[in-house]
Amino acid sequence: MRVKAEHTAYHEAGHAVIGLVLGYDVRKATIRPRYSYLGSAWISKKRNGSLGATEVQAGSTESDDFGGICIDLAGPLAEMLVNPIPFDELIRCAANSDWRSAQRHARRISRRQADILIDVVMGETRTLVEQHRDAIARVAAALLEHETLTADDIKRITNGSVS
Amino acid sequence: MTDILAGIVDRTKAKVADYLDLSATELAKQINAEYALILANERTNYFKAMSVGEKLGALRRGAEHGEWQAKLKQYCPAISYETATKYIRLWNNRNKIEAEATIKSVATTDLTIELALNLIAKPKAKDSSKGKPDSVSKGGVEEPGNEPTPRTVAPDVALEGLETDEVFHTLQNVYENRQDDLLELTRRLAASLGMALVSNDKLAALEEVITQPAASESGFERRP
Repeated sequence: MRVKAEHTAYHEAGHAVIGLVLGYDVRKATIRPRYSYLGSAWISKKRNGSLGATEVQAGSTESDDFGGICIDLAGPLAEMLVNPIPFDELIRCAANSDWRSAQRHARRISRRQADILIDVVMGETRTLVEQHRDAIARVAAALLEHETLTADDIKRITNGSVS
Repeated sequence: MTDILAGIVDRTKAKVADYLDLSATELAKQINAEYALILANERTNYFKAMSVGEKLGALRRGAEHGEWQAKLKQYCPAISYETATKYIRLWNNRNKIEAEATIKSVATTDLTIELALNLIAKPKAKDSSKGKPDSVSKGGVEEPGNEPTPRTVAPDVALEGLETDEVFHTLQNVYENRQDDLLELTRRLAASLGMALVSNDKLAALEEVITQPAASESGFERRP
């Protein structure tokens, strides 16, 4: 189980930073636990469009479904920067909703090729996370300090590294 | 920003298409290459299993009767009793395996654990006294009335994985109409354990003789 606040902070920072990198609007990110969530990141369903009400949600176009898979997987992949738990175990225990969401996006693109799609997009997302690990670390540190970050906070912290 | 996502979409589609467009020939090539690696590992495992079987045999020789399972669990907790039995069988039957492999024109370096076990699991023909081969070699013609019994698993291999209850009920069923044979089998099993079979009537009489003096001496009466 993911219990450390640092793990949650990297997880939510991963969603938020990769969301910004791909051109989505990020409204806020928090590591304040709510219901069964240890943290949340609010990201628009479509690039530069209307905001989703909850966590990362699907867009209606194929491109947004690809983006959705990336953002879903970015959380656990960013968390793995500080959490030595194997990916399979992470998605089974702490990031199961992210994984299921990624599967939903993939099935919308192609039900038959969903597994291959997730495999390939995961490779792309892992590269993105590596490329932006400094920005993710800064946002995670700010989350640990302030618990909740607004869109302006996140943009200010990541300014110059993701835009 | 959009370019990054567009790049991901394009690359992903290209990779998925590449994967799906692999021809049957290319797929078969990859499958065979990967399976060859699996087989190579299994062949290596055969010789390792032999080596382990030899050492397990030595370990078992030092165990008192009935202590082998406990000793195995104590010294080699990762090896199940069934696996240990298999490996010991491999080592004990190494000459037979080599002989069977030669008959089948199989190089010992090509043997896997399962293949080797299958070689020694082959049932012998009932009428082996006539000097006929145990089984007809590939390409040969079977003589009428001398066809090998179609058995895929040797009795000891089949019994290995069964629980005591299952073996008991199986024997009861098999010998349902052959009580004399079952009695003979039970006598032999008892003798192999250094015991003798005694009927319940005789046993009760013996107990009476043995316990009666002791009971009267201690002031207690046995009430069945």
